[in-house]
Amino acid sequence: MLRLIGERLVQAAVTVVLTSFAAYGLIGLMPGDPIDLAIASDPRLSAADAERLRALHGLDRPLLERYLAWAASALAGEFGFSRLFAAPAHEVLADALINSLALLVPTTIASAAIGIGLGILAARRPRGAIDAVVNAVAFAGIAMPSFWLGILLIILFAVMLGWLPAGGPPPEPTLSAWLRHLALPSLTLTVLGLAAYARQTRAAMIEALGEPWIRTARAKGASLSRVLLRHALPNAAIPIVTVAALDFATLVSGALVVETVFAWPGMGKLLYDAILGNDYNVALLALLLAALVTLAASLAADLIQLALDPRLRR
Amino acid sequence: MVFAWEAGREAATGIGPAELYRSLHRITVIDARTFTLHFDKLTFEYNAINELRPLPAHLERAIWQADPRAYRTRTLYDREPARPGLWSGPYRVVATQAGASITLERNPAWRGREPPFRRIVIRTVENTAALEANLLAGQVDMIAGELGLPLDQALALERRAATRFRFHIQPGLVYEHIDLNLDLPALADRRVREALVRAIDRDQIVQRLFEGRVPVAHSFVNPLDRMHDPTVPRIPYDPEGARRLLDEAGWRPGPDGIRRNAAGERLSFELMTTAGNRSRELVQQVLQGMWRAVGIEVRIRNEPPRVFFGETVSRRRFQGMALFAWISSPENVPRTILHSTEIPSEARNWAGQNYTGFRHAEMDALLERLPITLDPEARRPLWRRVQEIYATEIPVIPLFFRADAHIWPRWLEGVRPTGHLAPSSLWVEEWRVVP
Repeated sequence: MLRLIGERLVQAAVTVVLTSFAAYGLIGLMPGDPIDLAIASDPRLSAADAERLRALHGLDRPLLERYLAWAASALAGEFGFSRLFAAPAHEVLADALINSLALLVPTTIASAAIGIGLGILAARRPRGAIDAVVNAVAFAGIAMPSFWLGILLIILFAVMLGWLPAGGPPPEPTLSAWLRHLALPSLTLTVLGLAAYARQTRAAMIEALGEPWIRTARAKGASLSRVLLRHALPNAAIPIVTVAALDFATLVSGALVVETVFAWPGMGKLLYDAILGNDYNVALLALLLAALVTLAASLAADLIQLALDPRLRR
Repeated sequence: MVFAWEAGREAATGIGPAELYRSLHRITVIDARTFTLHFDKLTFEYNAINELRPLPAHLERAIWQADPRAYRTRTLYDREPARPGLWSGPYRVVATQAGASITLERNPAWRGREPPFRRIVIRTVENTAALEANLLAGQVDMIAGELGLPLDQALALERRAATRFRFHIQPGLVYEHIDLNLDLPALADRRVREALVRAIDRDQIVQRLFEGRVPVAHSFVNPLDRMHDPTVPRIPYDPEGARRLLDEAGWRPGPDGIRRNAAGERLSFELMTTAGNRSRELVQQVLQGMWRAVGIEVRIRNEPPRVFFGETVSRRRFQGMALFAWISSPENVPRTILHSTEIPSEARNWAGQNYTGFRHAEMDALLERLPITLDPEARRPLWRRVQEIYATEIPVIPLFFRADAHIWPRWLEGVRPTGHLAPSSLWVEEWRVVP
């Protein structure tokens, strides 16, 4: 187990270095550096101005040299300053991360709980009425564009019924204000997110329920709920854990479309704005954080799978 | 003012256009409220210096001195915008939420008329469908046109919600136009360029797409500009004339209706614009159909704004036509877009905005004379000639001046959208609740 963790940590370190280089390189190679865009929008910029600004911001140096300088600073804990938000990059990221976690943690928990529940219900009688309904909900969740569902919910709950705010962070930091402002974006993401859990759970549970040990458990008189939850679910959990790990990784990369529709200043929106606005420091830090959490989630999923399935430990 | 000038002159501060700070070589302070600016050249634009604005030296100087290179992103306006002493208008910033909102409250130091509203919150809602829903839900009271709903969406909303809100369509200085790449042999022929203009019915475009609520542009000079000359000849919608000109230029209809020259080359261009801009994409499709009717093939190829402006247009890589907008501010001498020395090239770091590659000796001379002709009446004939050359040489096809849709509730009055570069909050102290 320890060896596996050690190997994974070494792999993670290499992946982080490669990711940071790839991210830096891709951002640096994007068409239109900040000076190009400034020239296009400001007729007063002369050729000499462009040259002076490129030198001042180090954009006249080779990309590798710029990356190494950034990496040295990052290793020293200095992630630079955000040019869009005029604050240290890590502070900008912290605010957006809190907003994203406030939105996505309850959403992920709700998606998982409801999705797994629906999957179990559907697996009890495949091709039955409940299964058909769950399938329909799952397909709708997968097929429905998030912006469409978001707008629909805004029109229903904010415009027509007037029950909930249409979006934005709460004007005052009270719990009730937070809950009211989180309701619609959370509902949107939950509906969309539960589909994957429901489908994975249904498929894995149907397979598990067909195994001989389930028949044995039933023959020994175990109740249906005990058979489902104690015998079938742990065996069906491996693919669900994988879905959960992937979902966990998205907690720090945000939900761009839903954040945009609901004017929620989270990580997805921040990363999008940072890339478009040439805010290298913020974009890189956000991408690195997403990579790190994805790696951590993947490692956690592996460890949980090892715990769930003794065969994998051999 | 002296501090702002000193900070701008310092190379390490990294101000973009340095010409103003080079040309403005001295400031003489007469008293606490009076100063004289000394320039090294005479120009009529002396009273249009928008980039030099006073900064509160007692707050900002120490920050600048600590690190001039970082100053541009570390001013108090960026880091602590709610700090008293920064704002001089009727309102001051009291709170900000990054990416979400700015809260303004009455500025106690404002010496003008006290604004009726105690607090104004400016919210960011980027998705326009969500913005409309926010308005209908009462979560925002008004939508300022500068960055609000696209005109077609606002017009559709007006049909449904005119009883709840006032809709004010304000034509502005921004004009949509098509830059022609004059390096292409076909577009280098003036007759082809004139045919392109004769083939399009701009009145119909404006009528069909914007319900006639935006003015057609025949020139880069806005009709509200005192130097606009309505007697400059205009090229009318005349498809027959377009066909005749193309015949004269050696472009004959081929079997598929698209014209070809003697070498068998098709009369075919790319028309590019910013991907995702719905109104531009609609205009493109209408233009494509109108040009097809006279035998000109137009292929639409759009790019994200960052690529389009940062690479394709600024490096003159568009193969035919580029549709985008410029601002036509009053008496703005169009040197950077029409002077032959302003054609972007690698040798000049791609600076300059003469993306068409227009070269015209008389235009160059006019653009050099205009800024140093101080008497407005002496400038008038120069401006007329500039407009005349623009209209007859056709380096650019002007389409229409954009209009902004301002929407506010019926209980609010006194809002006066400007139509120029100042935002609609310019006279915010006049906003009041209908008694």
